[in-house]
Amino acid sequence: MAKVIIYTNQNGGVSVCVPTGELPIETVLTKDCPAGAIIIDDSTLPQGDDALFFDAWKLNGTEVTVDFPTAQAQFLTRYNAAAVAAGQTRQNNTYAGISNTNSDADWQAKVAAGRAAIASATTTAGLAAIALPQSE
Amino acid sequence: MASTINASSTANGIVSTADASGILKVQSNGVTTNAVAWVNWGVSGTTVTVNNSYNVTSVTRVGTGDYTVNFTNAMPNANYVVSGTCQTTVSYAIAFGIKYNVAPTTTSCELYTFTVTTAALVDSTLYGLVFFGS
Repeated sequence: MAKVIIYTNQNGGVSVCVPTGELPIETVLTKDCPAGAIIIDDSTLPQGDDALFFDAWKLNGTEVTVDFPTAQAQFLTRYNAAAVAAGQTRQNNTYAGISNTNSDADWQAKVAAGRAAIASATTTAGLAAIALPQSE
Repeated sequence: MASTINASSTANGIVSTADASGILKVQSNGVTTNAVAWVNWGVSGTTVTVNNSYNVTSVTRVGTGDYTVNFTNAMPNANYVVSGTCQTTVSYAIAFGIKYNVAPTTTSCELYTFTVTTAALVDSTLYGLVFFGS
């Protein structure tokens, strides 16, 4: 198991500092990290679906957990950005005379269903199961 | 850090030397021409693994697609050049650059990777960076 250094960063999230081995980790702790940073075993960091939501990690004492409302909000932002990009592709297809697989109404309904699924999700596994919008 | 200095001045002004920290510098007429730091790291899930490095003490994952490289010995100044590449296993194009609104410093450099289509931050699976400075 590798040792890493963690601390709460300026964004309110968790930074994970991985030493290269050029200097002892205790030296890296004082040289590269702010006061309050701690050395932990990386196996104690969130795993599985929780690991997918790194930007929602919170440090509580020596334990890192996922703040689910933050994960939910961040995933919705990501979902909406993907919807915009996919919608633009669909529009470009229309301008180019290329037929989209799904009608606009079907596509919009599918995107809306995804948003509803994000809103009703209660776990990171639930969020991870929701596919980002494609142009279709 | 151990260092061996084999200084050799030639007619074209090329000199091999090392500074007090032991960083090897190949200089041409006083300008350092070799890389003064480099690092290669991979990302699997959220696990960052540093594969190889020179003059880099650590790589910090600040957020998705957001990494800070910390130098072992400080750069002579912050006007260094960063060159590098990154690899991804996903189908969309990604871009790689110095983080906006965060100027490189002599001790660290923060970088972003993001998708070209949505500008969303995204992790690459493999990063390789080289730093030149004089």
